[in-house]
Amino acid sequence: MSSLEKLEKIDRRIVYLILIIVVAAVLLRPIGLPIPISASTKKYYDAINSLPPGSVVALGVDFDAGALPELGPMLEATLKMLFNSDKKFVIFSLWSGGPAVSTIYLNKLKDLIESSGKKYGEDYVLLPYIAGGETAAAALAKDFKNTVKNDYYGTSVDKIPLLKNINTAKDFALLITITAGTPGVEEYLRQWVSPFGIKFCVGALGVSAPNYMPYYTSGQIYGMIQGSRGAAEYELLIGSPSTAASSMDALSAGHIVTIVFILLGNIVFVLRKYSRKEVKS
Amino acid sequence: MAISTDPSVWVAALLTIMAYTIIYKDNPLYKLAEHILVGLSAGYLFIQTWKMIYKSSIVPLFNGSGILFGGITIVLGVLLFTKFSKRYGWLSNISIAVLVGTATGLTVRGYLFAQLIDQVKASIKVVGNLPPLDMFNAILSLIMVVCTLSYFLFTFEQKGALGWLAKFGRYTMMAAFGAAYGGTVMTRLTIFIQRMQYLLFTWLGLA
Repeated sequence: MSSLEKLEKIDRRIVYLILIIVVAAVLLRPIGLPIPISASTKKYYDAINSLPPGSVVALGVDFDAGALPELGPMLEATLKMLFNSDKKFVIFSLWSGGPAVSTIYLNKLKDLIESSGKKYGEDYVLLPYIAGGETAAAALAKDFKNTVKNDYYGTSVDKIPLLKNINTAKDFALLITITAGTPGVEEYLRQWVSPFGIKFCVGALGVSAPNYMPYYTSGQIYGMIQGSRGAAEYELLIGSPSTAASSMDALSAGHIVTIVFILLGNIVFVLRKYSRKEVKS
Repeated sequence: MAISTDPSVWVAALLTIMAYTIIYKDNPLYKLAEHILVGLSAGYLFIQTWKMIYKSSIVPLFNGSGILFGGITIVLGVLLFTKFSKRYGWLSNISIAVLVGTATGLTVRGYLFAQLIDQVKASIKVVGNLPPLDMFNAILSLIMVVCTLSYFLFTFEQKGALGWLAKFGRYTMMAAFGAAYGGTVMTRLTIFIQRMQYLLFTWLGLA
């Protein structure tokens, strides 16, 4: 077997082993690569920052535990920014795992919530899972309080001061969804953004962000955090670097390993094709 | 180095390692982790959905606040289960018709405005007072949209000018697929890095 053949048939476990070693090494000894802020992340930040005091933000936590590594830091940073601001917000979810994910971060930020002076029910509220996908999104937009009767803890929405004047999507100053897929961006675009003209921001997985770019460039999505890289940028923007920012060096190292193996695979493929042609002739 | 003494951290760490043993080869430890995940997810989804249905349909039915709405939804829901009967299976078509009709009605209207008209408007916004780079982007987007659409024009043979347009359209799609692949790599790597952070820092305490 020639060396080219050996390279072509390299055991995938060796590739994984190299990846594990490189990622672990960089996590333990970070390089400190710079993280420039992209325009879409800056606009996400600006969308929240520029809201008048007292504005109510609709925050859709539309993901479950499977997407925590990438979307968790976005949610944490968004909550930090909202708790540190003079805005109010309503957390809801079209995903069954959304409320559980929200409670993880609300518990994590307990100290910040206490120090910010925000009161549950007056400044923020957590709603339960709303089943029905697009139908639920449409119902929420048209008749918010009749779609969801209680908050996550069982209190009637009629007894929650923050929801007193919330009847339709128009009563929110901004809609944010941090989403892992469907239901998510396209459902909100169809049922909230297009009919009610609400400003819309998105926190998306790296794998879905390219699919949402047409909506971002058209202006239907105002600001967007794209994957863990975007989350790291956002953490830096709010001045609170956390898990996403600390994983950026390892992510870059992992990307380099991936690119090297893609290049190597292609080079070996071309060389083998060339050598086979030579043998034939 | 201070290894965690929290049992929940140990469970999470061991399950992570069990899941990653698939890298070596398929094995019972991986299968166990996989089945735990699937079982927990299914159970969780069932309970959350049941809670939602209970509060929105069943409670109003019995306390009199929504007899009509609650009754109709429960009847439609129950009818779905007639699918298992050969004799009464046709009854489930009523529920399916309501589901499909509602979803289509909701989606089509929104789709027309949000995903067709607004997208077409965005594709032809070349004229206007855009900064030079945005202008370049807008023109490039328009060219790419036209070329990609021409790739799917099968009424005429794709040769000559149309052939060139279609070829550029193919490159455009390849670039889009490349971007999607890059995003996929980033997502998978992020999950892997997060689990590595958990194992190295939260479990093993290698700060």
